[in-house]
Amino acid sequence: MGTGDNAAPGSDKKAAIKRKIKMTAYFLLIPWFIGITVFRIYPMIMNLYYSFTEFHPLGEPSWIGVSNYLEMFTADPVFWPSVVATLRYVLIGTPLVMAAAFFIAFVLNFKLKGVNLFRTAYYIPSILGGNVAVSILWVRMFHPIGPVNTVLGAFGAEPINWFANPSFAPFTLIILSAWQFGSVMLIFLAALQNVSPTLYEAADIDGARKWRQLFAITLPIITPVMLFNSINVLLRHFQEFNAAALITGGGPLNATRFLNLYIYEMAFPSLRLGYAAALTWVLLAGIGVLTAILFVSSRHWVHYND
Amino acid sequence: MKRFVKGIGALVVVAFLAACGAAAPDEPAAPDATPAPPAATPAPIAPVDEDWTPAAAGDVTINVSWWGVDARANAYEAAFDVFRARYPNVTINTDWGAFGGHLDNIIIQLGAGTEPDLMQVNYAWVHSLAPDGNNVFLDLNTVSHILDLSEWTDSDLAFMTVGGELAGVPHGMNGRIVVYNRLLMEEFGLPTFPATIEELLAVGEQVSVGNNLNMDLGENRYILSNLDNLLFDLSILTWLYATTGNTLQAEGQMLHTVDQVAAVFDIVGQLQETGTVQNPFQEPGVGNFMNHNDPLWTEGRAGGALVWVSDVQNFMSTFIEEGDQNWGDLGIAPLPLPAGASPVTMQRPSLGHAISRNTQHPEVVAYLLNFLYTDEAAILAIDNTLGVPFSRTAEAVAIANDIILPPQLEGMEILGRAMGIIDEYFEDPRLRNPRLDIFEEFRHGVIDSQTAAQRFVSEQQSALDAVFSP
Repeated sequence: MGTGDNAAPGSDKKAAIKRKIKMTAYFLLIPWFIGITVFRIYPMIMNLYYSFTEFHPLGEPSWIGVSNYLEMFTADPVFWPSVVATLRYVLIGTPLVMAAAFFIAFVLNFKLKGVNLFRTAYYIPSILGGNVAVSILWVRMFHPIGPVNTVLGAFGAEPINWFANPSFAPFTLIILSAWQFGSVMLIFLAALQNVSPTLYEAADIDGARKWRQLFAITLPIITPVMLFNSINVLLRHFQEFNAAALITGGGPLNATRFLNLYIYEMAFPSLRLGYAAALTWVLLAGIGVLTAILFVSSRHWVHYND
Repeated sequence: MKRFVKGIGALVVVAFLAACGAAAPDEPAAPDATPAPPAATPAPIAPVDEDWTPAAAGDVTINVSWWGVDARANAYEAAFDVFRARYPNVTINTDWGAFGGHLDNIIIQLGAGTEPDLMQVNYAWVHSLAPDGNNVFLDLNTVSHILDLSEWTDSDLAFMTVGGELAGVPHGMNGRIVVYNRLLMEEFGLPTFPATIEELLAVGEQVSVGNNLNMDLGENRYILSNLDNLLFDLSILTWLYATTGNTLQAEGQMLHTVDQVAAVFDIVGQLQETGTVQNPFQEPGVGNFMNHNDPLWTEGRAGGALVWVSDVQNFMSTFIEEGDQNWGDLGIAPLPLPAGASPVTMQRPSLGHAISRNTQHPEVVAYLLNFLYTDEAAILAIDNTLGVPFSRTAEAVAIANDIILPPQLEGMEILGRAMGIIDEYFEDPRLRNPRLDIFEEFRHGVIDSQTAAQRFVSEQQSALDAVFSP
């Protein structure tokens, strides 16, 4: 009892301190909680509601049930081409960016003369982003008499009508995306530099060649980073807007009318906020499905240290 | 409060939309718009209080916004400087930018109730932005004791009347005419631009001999060029009007049959097949139209371009400055029509000005608006950067001071010969975007003229139903 009497005040004090720490933590979290509620959760809930309404930006939303969703799946001549354009961009662009970023990071991981200069040079395009200046550059690069066709011509190829041909226009934007691999490359580079040299030394002693080391040591070790990069790049491609809006305007024949661009077109020029809201949920679903596939598949190809 | 909540609602959707940023570059530098002469009757005009001035209003700050090129911005600022000098108690803040994206800004500002006090608006906007046909701008009849509405005719004001309220005042009329290259005409023995489709096709085929059909490698030539992707949209409207006497719609009902529309699609097909205008592969690609800066135009390889009268000087400038041509090498003509069709040039009011419903200083803003249209110093400062004015004082001052360029006057003369009014929803993106998609599919050969016409009529009617639904 006496022991208990002696222990009780101490444990009470500890509990009080714990409570105080907890309360302080919750108190400090209040701004974040308010922020996420006001700027994320509330907009998402309202957006979901608006997706079931007809909503002129300057009018009142009127409930129309699932009409927006029915219209997009059954009657909208632009929706499915837009989905196809988006998926093509995501499914080609994401692996391309990953491959380009990894390859350059791999090369820049060697101790080369002036390697820092190269690292900076390769990173710069990703700083530029999809702005107007880059768009103008791209339009000129891929003009029928621009540098790209000139270089192709030097190899005897016929000039390509990049922007006016629906078969080629998406690839100009995919190439633009692949060109801006700098951030992804930097993360790969950091991961590569974290691979312990002792593993390579051991592999050397065992007689493993460089290619074998790449596939047996380097790639398995950096798979968590590959997963992280894949998801980031995937999201970025799903959300692409600037390049399509500034360079191709969604054409020709909807070949580059990505969902994000279409959402904008529905929301503003077309004054259909409700329909645009519905489209965002489809976009979110698309992102969710592909991200889930990546996560589920990662059990089979991502190797964690533990 | 309700308005604020509504604005927040719009912003919520905007916040969640994953994209945002750049603007759809689908409009020319010239103003947009549309209505057929409105049915609504303008309210009786109140007598102007000539004694009232902003000097009595105390310290006032007014926000003004517009879109346009640098020259227009400099002109507005010069006019405002005159106003500031006269009324130092009035502070005028200005906000301006390119046409692309300007409507987005206005929509968001209107939704949140934070729009500028005085706005340059597009003629079509005052109708498109009216949910259920209710005007969202200040009814200018309420400030007619300050703003002298007798500067405009009733029919002029009727163009910007929405739901019985005067949403804005129009600056002038605007229509598309052909600016043509005399040098190319002379090369093919033509004294002027062809007047009929048949003549156009005949000479168009000759001009296009030797063109690369797959792309323009900098040597192609055409008698008529599609420099902003709107050539066919506006041409089809003109040809339909010329052959049927009807604009696209009236009170939400399409006025053309599939056969009538198919006939004009066939004209577009012929123009492409003969090389009279570019096929889609010979164009720089959607989103890359350069308008008056296009080398096709500046290098003199285009015989003509269909341009807004208000935009004529831009085409003339680049033709002269970037090419080796002279001012006299250009001419003005109406769009060629099918043989036997009634002469017509489609037109509608150009830009206008509207006042915010939420302004704290409606009388001062109305005074400033009145100043822009009636004060000689302001009109001279604005110069021709807004196009050709048709309000009484502005027009008189502009003519007396030779503000209007000769080619603009020539263009206005063509507009005045045979007017066809572009209806108020023709340029509404809800109608125009589906049309442009159909043109694109037809021009790429994905659909034939009959299918294109069927889709044109049915999709336009669906869009109209949506616009006119309560």
